[in-house]
Amino acid sequence: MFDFSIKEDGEIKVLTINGELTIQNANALKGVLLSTLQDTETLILNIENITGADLSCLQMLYSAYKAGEQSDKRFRLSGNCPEVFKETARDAGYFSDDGCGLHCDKGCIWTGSSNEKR
Amino acid sequence: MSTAEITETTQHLTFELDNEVFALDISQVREVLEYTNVTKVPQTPDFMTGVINLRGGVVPVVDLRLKFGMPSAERTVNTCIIIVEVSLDGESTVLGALADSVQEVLELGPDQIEPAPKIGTKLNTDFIEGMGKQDDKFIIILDIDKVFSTDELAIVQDSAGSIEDENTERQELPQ
Amino acid sequence: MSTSEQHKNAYREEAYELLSELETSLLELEESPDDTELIASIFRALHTIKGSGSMFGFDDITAFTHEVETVYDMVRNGEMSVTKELIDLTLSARDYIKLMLDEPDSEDISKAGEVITSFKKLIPQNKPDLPASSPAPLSQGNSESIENNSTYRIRFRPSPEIFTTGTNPVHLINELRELGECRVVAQKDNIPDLAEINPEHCYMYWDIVLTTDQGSNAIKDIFIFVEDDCELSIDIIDDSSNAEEGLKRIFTDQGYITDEEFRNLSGSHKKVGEILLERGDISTEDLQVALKKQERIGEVLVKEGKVSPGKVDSALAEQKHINETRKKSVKTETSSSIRVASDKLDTLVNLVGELVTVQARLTQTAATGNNPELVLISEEVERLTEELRDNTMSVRMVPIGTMFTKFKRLVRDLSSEMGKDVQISTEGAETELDKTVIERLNDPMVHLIRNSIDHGIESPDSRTAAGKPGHGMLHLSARHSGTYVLIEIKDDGAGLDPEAIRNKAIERGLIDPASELSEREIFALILTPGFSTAAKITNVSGRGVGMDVVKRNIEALRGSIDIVSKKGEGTTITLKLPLTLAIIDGLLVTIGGETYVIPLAIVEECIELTDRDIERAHGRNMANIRGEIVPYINLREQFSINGRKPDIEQIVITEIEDHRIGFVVDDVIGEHQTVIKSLGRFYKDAEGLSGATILGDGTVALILDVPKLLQNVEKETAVNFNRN
Repeated sequence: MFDFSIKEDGEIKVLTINGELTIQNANALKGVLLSTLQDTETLILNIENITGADLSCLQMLYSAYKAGEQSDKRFRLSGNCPEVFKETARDAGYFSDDGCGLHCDKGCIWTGSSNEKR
Repeated sequence: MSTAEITETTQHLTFELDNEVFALDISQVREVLEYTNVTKVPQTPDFMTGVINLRGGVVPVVDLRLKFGMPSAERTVNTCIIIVEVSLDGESTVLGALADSVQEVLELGPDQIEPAPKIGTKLNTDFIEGMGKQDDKFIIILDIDKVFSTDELAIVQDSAGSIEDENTERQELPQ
Repeated sequence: MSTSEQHKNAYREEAYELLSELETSLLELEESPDDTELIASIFRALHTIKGSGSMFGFDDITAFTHEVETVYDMVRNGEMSVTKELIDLTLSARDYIKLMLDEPDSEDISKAGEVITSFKKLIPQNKPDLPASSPAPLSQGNSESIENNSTYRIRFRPSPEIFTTGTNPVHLINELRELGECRVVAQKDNIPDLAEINPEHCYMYWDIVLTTDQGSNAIKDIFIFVEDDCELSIDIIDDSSNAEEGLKRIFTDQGYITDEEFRNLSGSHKKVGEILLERGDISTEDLQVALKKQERIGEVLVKEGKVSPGKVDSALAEQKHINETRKKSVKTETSSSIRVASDKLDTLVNLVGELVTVQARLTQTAATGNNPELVLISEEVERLTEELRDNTMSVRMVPIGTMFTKFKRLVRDLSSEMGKDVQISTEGAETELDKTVIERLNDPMVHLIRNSIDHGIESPDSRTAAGKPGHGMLHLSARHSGTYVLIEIKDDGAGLDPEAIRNKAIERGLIDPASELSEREIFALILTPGFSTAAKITNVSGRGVGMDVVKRNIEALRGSIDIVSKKGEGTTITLKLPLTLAIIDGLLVTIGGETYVIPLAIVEECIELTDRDIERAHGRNMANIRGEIVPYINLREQFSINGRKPDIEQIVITEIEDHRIGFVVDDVIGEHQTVIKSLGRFYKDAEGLSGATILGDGTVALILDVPKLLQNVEKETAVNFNRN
């Protein structure tokens, strides 16, 4: 299952994804990210309701983030980070303590410094 | 050790106390020191002269004259401290014995040693291991372990009227 | 001693150590039954006891331990769970092994079979009984390989199609994590723009730093199914051989940083730049340029576009990883220190003590002579002696944790014996104390803990009735406080009842019914001889051997006891103990020509005492110090020292256990570093003296036993009161 909803709040678009953020839905994710990023300055991706995550989508989100950086747009994650997303990010070496916060400075999954300790 | 066991020639260190000659088995003597400054430990009987520093260790010194009930004497150049190793309650302890002077190391064969006399000596016969004979003089061979046994010390301490008395009194309090 | 005897002794010593480790681990396991590391260490201990036992002919130990080991192999493999029953059994098994070591001929050993039978009952029925001769799965190489940890740098770049082959790179990475301490940094610089990305391609690759004892083949094995179409490089980067010196040379010779800076950085064994360079992420020139900027190297390189942030992060991760593993290995090295017979240590301490004495003499001689060079030398010797003394003392220091562990066991046994539920927690186990102090602290601590469990902590029923949790808490803690160590024994039991103690003390004639005492003073009464508050005499406490013995023991260690308690809430007993017994700072005083030492730690001040002062006090031994009345003891009288007292005497004011008391002496000379010597058996009954020391001039000075003197005076006061 994979679906999404877009809410506009002035300059900001909030994209809420439901379902699995996995390779089966990677193409769909790419499509929605591309189209929503095109006509907004700030895109916030709410991943609170995702039920799965894998590498293909992680790199996709990173790509979106990079695209945003390059075109002076803002791409951020929001919502209570589901455990499954955290786990995938951690296992893949994307670890961060608050990888889903709106702040994307040091320690965020995008810069990807690894602080894990097992 | 009783005289019956003395079957070999043994070496003894002889020393003088109040013009009498005493001897100690040389195997129990560690060394002989000149008289040095002795620190008196308060509230102890007079014969316990005090403690000295023996190469960094604290060693008690006993005045044998007083221990044997002889009159106390002035220290002279000949006064010395014989360091002996005694067995105190089964534990080996080093202590010093104050003597008027040390004379010589003497070899005594079994035939030169007689058992301690039952009577006729000022000294507690328990302290005497045997009587040696050299020329016409008698030498009192001491059983130094017995001299310094804790029973002995305790008796003297009680008679010295130390604070032990108060302790007994205290024990009678209702507990 | 024959060689084989020597080996046997070595085995015994090792086994004792392993057994105490085993006990610690078991007690910890009880608290966290899922800790696989603990289970592994229990298994290892058993395995080593068994293995070395068979080498040195301890066949019964080998056979017995084998059975226990078999059970723990199942626990290790998750075939059995850790239960209290299992821990109980293993603890008693441990005791049997110890018994076999202590008294191989003891008849009790025959009962060990029962333990084995019970162990077998624990083995789940659906699992086939392991054959008794099954070889221990831990190969013989195990103990060596643990020490052979190596750190690898792994770069794993899967083929872009890896997702479609059904292999998840994350799973591979997780398998690496199983091998050891692992840091993973995903490299994302190859991820294309969103428009160009093929969602089904993998663009990422990983830098992994792994410390493992399994060797590089184990790493390769993980990638065996993907190795044909992925890039994989495995380099050993830190095989525990020290590269620091070489690094230091590289950095300092080329003037990048000074020696001092390097030292400041020590702990960082490899610089980030170095790591990047090694990895080929940057060139030497890049590094040099960046280093000259005097900023954080990673930031510079990123700013200049020489390297992506991810690469720097990866290098940083590697650096951190190596540092941490290094720290760990350093820690292991120190704890696996050499064993020294304790009498050798005692000899060393004695020698240092003598040296301190001789040094004092040297200083004295140098000061009186007229030779400036000698003064210099003597100062140098003084400095060295001090250092040597401190070092030697620190060698004798052992962490109190070993004792705490023993008490965990004690609490466990006692509480089940008395039908109480007590949980023990400890704090500050790493606090170090002189080994002699720890040894002599054991009995008083056992007594206090028994008291807490027996009298303090209530039965679960009465606890629940009082609205408390059913299980009682006993907390042991240790911490440093200046030159003292404070040890606390805290329970949340019934607490002490000050009124009851007071009444009892009056009843026994210990205090005046009219006397007003603070709560603390009342609690201190339970330390008086003959005082026992237990209504019921139990097996473990309340048998006449009272708290007074504890107090005496603690005072013999020059320590003190403080009791704080609140009825219904619990009791805290604090022991204050000196760090070491062998050397103290003392104040030299003279009485009647003899020199005495008062421990400086308790000395507050010295004041003069004139005949006029004595007259004004109307025959009472009281001094008025800035309005406060302080009682004093005239040592000249106390020690029945003959001779004339000087016109002006000195009072040394001391404070112990919140009591201020003065000691009248002829004169105060000054401070002296005091090496404490025993007065020996001959003077064991000497009252008021705790030992002797040797002064600079070679004479002996006596050390005053201040608490004892104080106690005697208090007793006398009590006696007088009783007589009235």
